[in-house]
Amino acid sequence: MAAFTVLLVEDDPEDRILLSDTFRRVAPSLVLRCARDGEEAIEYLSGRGAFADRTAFPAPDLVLLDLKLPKRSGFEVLSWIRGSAGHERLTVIVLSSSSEPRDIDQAYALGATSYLVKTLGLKETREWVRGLSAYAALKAR
Amino acid sequence: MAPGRELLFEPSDHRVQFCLDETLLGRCVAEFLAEGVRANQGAAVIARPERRAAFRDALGERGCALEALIGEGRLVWLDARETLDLLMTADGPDWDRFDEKVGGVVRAMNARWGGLRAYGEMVDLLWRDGRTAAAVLLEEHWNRLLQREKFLLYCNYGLDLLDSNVLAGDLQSILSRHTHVHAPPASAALGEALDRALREVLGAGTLEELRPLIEATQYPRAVRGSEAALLWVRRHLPAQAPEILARARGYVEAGDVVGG
Repeated sequence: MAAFTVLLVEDDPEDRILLSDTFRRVAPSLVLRCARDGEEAIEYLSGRGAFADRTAFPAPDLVLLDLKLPKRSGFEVLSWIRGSAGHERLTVIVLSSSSEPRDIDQAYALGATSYLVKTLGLKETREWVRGLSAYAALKAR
Repeated sequence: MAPGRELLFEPSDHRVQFCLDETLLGRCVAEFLAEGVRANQGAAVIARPERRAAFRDALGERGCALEALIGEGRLVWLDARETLDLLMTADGPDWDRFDEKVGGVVRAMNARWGGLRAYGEMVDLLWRDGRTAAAVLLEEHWNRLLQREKFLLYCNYGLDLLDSNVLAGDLQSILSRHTHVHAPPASAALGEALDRALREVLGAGTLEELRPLIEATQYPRAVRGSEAALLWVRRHLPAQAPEILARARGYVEAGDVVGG
């Protein structure tokens, strides 16, 4: 069975490095790929352009989606995902620094599977990434 | 997964209860209304006529005579179905009609008594009719009225939270339009039952690994504790959810969990 692939859509290089490192340490069985803005995320999900090679860039089983992104916002990406064939059931977890009820409401209204608020603590980040690893194992059962 | 519920009402609270037990519902509603009556506030009930006897008995046990309260003008009783019919258009409940009919009662009672507690179940009628979008719209009308008028609102849905046929999106839409989940004592065991079922179906080790992810997940407004965990299971584990929910329901029904 193909490895469980997570697409991290995040424009902040520090957050990308932090999460990549955390995934390597606590969820090594997961494949993590990154997109740096909304357009790149859609290109990746479509398997176009630089992401056409599905061996190097497997179709994701789960998307971790920031909301405040350059080019196309996380909300736009979410709308695109739910409106595009084949992605209706894709697990999309919004990962945002915003805990505003309006953003949470909108994310769910647009079809987010769930919503996480970015925490500053490494320990908390490690714990939910470990949880993601357990979730991936369950999905593979 | 601690429920984390407060039982005291605050101004502009919009609480929701999920209760199928008529006797328990009568007690909860009567307690809510009686507290207001004792504080010299007005009361409004928009309910099915068949609830009247149960509410009358439960209010009577709390020293409040329903007919006397109605006679005094302290309590207004509206028939839920008749009132709902007055509000409905082809597009669902209409704000102007709602504001005129329901808002009119709220404003009049507030002006006369200086405070109001309202119990309503029109949304439950819509839910049972399969008109979830209309129920959500009506909840939004209530919230709009709550922004304009200070009163306490308490709704009940005759909905089983552990019914796997209830769609996660629908349940979340309802929950997210309320400020709190008002938990009757009988459903305090929900969190414990769910936890036990999750442990059995997923395995204790897996559950412990998943728990930080489940607990970190954010939902709007009223969705906390065991209700949040329920939504997480429904949204993330659709394959396992029916078994988890069925087991949890079994524990609640058998009284195998104490909750609290």
